[in-house]
Amino acid sequence: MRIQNVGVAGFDKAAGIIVQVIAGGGFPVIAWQKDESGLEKSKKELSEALGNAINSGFITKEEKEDILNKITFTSDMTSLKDADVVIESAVEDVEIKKGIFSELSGLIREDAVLATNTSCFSATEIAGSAGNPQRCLGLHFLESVRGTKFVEIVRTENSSEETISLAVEFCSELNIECVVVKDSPGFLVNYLFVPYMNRALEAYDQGLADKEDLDTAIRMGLGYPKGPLELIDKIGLDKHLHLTGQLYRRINDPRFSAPSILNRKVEGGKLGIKTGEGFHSYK
Amino acid sequence: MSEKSKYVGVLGCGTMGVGIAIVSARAGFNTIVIDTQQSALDQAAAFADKFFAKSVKKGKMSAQQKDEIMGEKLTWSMNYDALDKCSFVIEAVFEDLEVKQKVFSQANESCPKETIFATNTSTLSITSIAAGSGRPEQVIGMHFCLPAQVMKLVEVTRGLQTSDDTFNRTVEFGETLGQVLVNTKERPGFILNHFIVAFNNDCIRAYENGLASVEDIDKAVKHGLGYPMGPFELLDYIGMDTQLRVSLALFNQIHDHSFYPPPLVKRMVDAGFLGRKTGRGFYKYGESGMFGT
Ligand SMILES: NC(=O)c1ccc[n+]([C@@H]2O[C@H](COP(=O)([O-])OP(=O)(O)OC[C@H]3O[C@@H](n4cnc5c(N)ncnc54)[C@H](O)[C@@H]3O)[C@@H](O)[C@H]2O)c1
Repeated sequence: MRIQNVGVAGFDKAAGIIVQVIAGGGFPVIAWQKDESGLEKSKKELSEALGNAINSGFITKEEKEDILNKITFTSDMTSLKDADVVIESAVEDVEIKKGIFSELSGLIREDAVLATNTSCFSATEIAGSAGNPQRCLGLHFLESVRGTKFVEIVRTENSSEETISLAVEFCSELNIECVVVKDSPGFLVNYLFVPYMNRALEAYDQGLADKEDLDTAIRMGLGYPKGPLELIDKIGLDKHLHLTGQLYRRINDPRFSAPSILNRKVEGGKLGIKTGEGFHSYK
Repeated sequence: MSEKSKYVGVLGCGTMGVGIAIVSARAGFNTIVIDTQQSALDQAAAFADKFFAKSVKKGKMSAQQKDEIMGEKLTWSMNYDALDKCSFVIEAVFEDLEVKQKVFSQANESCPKETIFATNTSTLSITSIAAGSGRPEQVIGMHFCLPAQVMKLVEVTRGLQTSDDTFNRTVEFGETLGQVLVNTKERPGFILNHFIVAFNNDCIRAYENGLASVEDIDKAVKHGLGYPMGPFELLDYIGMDTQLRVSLALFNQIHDHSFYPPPLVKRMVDAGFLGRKTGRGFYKYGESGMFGT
């Protein structure tokens, strides 16, 4: 296997899932972030996320320690220069992502793979700012409420076959389920999930059922791990609003247009569990 | 509870009716099961017997309890007069407005005047069914999930004329049955079919449009979202004929494109690719029932 050293560039929340999967799979990870001050915050958030994973029974205490020991946090980008693959997972802002891609492509080896973890932008567009886009692709990491991890390997217009098969091999090495998908808006999972969630929010707004009954029906009747309202509270209403808004802009399909109740809640500061209230209250 | 309230009628004993009858008898109600076909009654009785035999084997009930249920609690009949002591009647006949109106108006002749009529309809309007019943204030929706003898959830839906008393008594009855009730507005598909029909059609459309393969979409939904089954695995259980019928029933009432069956659904029905029951749907099933063989 050609991949030994993995870099993660930028450390948004989703990056926590990436390092869990990769360090958990036995690979050392160098986690780079632009500013020194953000490093402490990231470390803390990651440690918390791993703590939650222990509480949910997804990992053991020892595994948490193992994972943390495999990660080197740094604010010096040149630490990434020997990485075999770098996964960009900065905030969901296309200009920032492009900037990181262009800087990294001048820094890392010619044959190193450059991936973006974007969920709502075009991986092809982001790859366009790298010197040689053939070695670029999307690696979209997802975690379900059940704790299962999953990767969408996004084939951009310019990804080489070698880059894609290396990613597939890497996922099997990590023992994580993956599919190779087209670089179309929302890829596969969000393309199917976002309209479902929007439909649920709209139906709730129209009084189909009260919030407990709606969640209970979906959980018990369809067997989904969480009902839609408790799930969006966990995801963050602002995060869903951003995702659906960006996808709508690209697809222009009304199923992706943000339901008005979502805008109202976000405008009212009700972002979900993290603010103590979304659809349900956590105070 | 009065002697009367211990009797429950189940109209139609196909897939759903037999499950509902099992739930009712298991909860201790004298359950009168009515069907127009003797063969349907015989099949249902055999199915119930097998189900309770399994419950005994699993240690969920004693052999004596099973005998009591099969011998005393469950009555199989083709005659509506047998409903004369029922406080609740649940219909699970064909999904057809006229048939449902007819069975309720027949039951209306045989049942005491306070009897509540619950319909297990998936896509029809409670209010429309009630309109032919002769007692619209006492008609309510009780939508069980398949298989009813296993799934606890029931969607309870009031029609325009359903009285508060009917609603309250239904909630109490549902709890006695040991089911979990959720209350929904009267709207085509209630909660479950509203979401699952649209989601499945979205997935079929994504496949039809070449976004990804059947296997990849199933994998993404199971692992990425943690759902118990991929949409195509589920559709092969549901049957493409049912998907087509339910989609059209919802679309014709709501006119929302999300419910419109993608053209592939009709083509699969025409080709006989209905799912597991014909050995081929989105997957192929061999004689062993395993896909891919
Ligand atoms: N199958 C499901 O997944 C499901 C789930 C929830 C609700 N439902 C609803 O439950 C109802 C029944 O569905 P099913 O799948 O059990 O159908 P089914 O075809 O298996 O059974 C219908 C039964 O009703 C009998 N019947 C027809 N006319 C009758 C009459 N006039 N009097 C007495 N019996 C009569 C038939 O002989 C048959 O045995 C439908 O309204 C359906 O929409 C079905």
